[in-house]
Amino acid sequence: MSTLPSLLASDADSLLNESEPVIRPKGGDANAPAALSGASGALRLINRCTFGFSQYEARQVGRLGTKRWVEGQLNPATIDDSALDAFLAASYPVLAMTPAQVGAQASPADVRNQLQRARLMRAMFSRRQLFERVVEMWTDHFNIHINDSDTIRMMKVGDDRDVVRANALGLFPALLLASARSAAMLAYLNNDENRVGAPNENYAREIMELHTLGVTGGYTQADVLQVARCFTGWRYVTTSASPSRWTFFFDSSRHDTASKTVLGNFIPARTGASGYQDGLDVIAILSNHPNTARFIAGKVLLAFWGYTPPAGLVDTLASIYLSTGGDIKAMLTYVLLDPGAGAWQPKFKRPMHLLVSIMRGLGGLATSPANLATPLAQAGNQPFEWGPPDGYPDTQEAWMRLLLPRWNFGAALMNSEYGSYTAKTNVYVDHIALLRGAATASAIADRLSQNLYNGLMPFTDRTRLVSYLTAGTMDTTRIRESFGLAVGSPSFQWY
Amino acid sequence: MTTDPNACQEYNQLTRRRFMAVSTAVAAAAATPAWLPRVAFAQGGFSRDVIVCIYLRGGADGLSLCVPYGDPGYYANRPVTRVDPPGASGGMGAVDLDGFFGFAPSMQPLMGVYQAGHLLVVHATGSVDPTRSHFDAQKFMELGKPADSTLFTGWLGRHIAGVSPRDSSAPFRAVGIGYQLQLALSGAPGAVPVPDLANFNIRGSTATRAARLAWLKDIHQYQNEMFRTAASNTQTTIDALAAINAGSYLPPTGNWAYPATNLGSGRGAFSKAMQQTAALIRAEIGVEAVAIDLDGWDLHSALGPLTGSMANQMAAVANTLRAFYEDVLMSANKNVTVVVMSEFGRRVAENGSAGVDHGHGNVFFAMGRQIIGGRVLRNWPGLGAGQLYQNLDLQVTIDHRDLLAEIVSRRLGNPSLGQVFPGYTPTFRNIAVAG
Repeated sequence: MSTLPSLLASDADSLLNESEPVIRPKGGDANAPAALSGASGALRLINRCTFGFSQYEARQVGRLGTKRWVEGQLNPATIDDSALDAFLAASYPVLAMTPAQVGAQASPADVRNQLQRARLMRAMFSRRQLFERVVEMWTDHFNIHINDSDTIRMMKVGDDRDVVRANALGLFPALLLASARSAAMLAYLNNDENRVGAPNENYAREIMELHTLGVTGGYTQADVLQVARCFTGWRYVTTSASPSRWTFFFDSSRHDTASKTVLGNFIPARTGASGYQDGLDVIAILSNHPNTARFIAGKVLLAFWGYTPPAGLVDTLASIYLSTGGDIKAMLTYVLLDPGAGAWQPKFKRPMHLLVSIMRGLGGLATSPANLATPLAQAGNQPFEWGPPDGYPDTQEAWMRLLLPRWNFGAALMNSEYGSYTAKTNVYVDHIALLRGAATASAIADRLSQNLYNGLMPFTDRTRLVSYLTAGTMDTTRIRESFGLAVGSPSFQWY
Repeated sequence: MTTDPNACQEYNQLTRRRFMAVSTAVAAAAATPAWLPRVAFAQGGFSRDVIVCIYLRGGADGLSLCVPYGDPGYYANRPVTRVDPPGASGGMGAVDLDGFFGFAPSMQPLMGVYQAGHLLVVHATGSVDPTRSHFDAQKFMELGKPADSTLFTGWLGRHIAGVSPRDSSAPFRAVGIGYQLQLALSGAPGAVPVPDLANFNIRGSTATRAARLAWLKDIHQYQNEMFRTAASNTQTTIDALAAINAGSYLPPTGNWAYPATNLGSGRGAFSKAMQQTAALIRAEIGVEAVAIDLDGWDLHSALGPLTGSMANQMAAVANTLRAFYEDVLMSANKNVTVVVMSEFGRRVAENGSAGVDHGHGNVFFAMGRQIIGGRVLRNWPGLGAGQLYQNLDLQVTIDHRDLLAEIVSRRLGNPSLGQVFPGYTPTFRNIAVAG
């Protein structure tokens, strides 16, 4: 049986044992950028850096102050996440397996389920919340459709761990190289079959269009072909009995040994094992390209600043990229802690983000998130299941037109359709724990305000929730329904 | 509305009058956005077709969908991924269309539609934009204008915004099957994305369902137009789809069967979407356009036009379209035009993994009883040396906007083509009967 209850007890206990008798918003510290001070600043900061405001992170910001809290989040190894790690290790054994060990598993669908469930548990309960948001950004940037094949269902385990998570806050060139060597990526974009004589262009095009330069980044069809030739022979071990199965290897017998020219850079003829250098040269050319700096700066700003960052900010962040060798942490530090930080634009939560933020806000618990798979699929945002290589869209236009699955998250969760709060199984919200004795409509609305908005629930939401609570007998069903409505409100769709 | 003796009881119970009774408040409230010029459109007794716009996402290989077996360049470039000429041994040759082109064998189900003159194939067509990016190519095609990143409404959306509703009491005017509204429909008033027409209701206690929905709709009233409209449309759509009960709809017995809904790679979902769309159109609640996607075409490796991935994809398209044709166009005699397109064709020469990389020119299909079909319309540029686009790909010799514009004009009754396809003067190719 899982160790989850003890994991969540640490969060839940501190929630339940909240010592403050009156509801008091927790504020950021006075040294924070102006936009991040006070209760509203703390709410903004936590929403921006996490998968949703929670009582735990509110206390952490209050204790540490804005700057130390962000610095801690940017250095996730300094944050104790051992309870979650223990739960993950006990519940999802594939996470720790070598690629070859994963490949020996009987059921690719089970492997995928473990990875997807781990993704959700981490998003909901990890204390390294900023790290998980950064992982989300790179998962989309280097998108791999997990259902592309049974093989990729299993290979994605290694990609998630050894490519995305291992490099999420590191240097972009290292992340790019790791992705180029990833079995899952090699299979997804067919570079595993890219060979001398009749190259396969799929990866070559997407590494420039989607991973580095951007579609307007200045490459031509000729560059696509040249890059494809450079990556001929980049593949992975396929021998099923080999302990190295699904690890990268350079196959010189498939490599195009003639010279190439990529974006105006001459790459000399290379034979034998030295042909591997061609791909490394391409990684370097692309990584150091100013259009890559701008493209990656734009991606970081889209994820953490807003939909339409000013050109000057893109330039500044691109210059940080170039001067630091693509240091992702340095870029994020600027976006999150520069004196201008907090001028971020509101963003519309994508469905998984919304569902996770509902759980975090309402103090939800989970022994397994398996029951969240269907609602996430119905909302079109199941982790790792975006088909094309560009990753789930991150625009309000993409997600704002289909509201029903979003309303259903709260409606179904509070109707105990994902789990039982009495039996404490699966995914559930214990309204009694959240209410802590609040018994009037007004007091219940205050509790929701504290949990979801650091005490700053919009007036319209509060009055209408009170109206709903008092429109009939205020029984358990009605109280729980009011929680569901609160998180279906437009106010809660933004971060 | 005529009722199908074979359709199941729940679906049968729906009549137009009954639908109106259950949804008196469903008139599409969404006004045409102020930024769009209005077109005063006089219907004059013209019954506009419903358009079903199918997009094959990922770049479908047009040289497999409609094989130019009469062009030796095809065989020179496709030694492994070829479809042999008609009459090839083993029955795996192309199905002849006109002595030069043929369907791949798995497209056989469409031969009946083609021979009835209701299916038009257009070859060497597509967007003239040179991009080989999936995302830019789809974007420019759906916007209806190449290389314009300032446009943000789709061709179909502008069409719908420019004409009066086909039915003023319609709960919605357009449906995009999916989680995001297709870009082609962007800008359409009363356009809703619905992932599954048979599963669209709010969870929780039925006793409080109406009150909760009213609460949610109400609290969106101060939001921006897109958000507010989405909330309002949600309620309307729930009511309309509950009344239709598309999940229980079955086509008449004896008709061509829709493929199984559990096929992989989105093929089963496509079949289900088309069957549900049949129910939606048969219900006559005023829908004017439905956009449906089928992905799985980006076959850089192991194309398989005879027995592999491409063959499976083509079989799903052919069987689904045939079923829809018999169901909606023939049995129910509905005025529907179906168009099928993809962002670009594939590279003429196969690559080293028996797949094909991104190319340029492609095929386009139009299906309808007023479509002048039974032929492969083309200005064939050839596949030989010196005949290829950038020495790599099939040329585009017919701009796809010529085809769409003619359908918009002659089948959708909208003469304002300058609004639907800004900056372009289309050439009609006589693919559809007017009126």
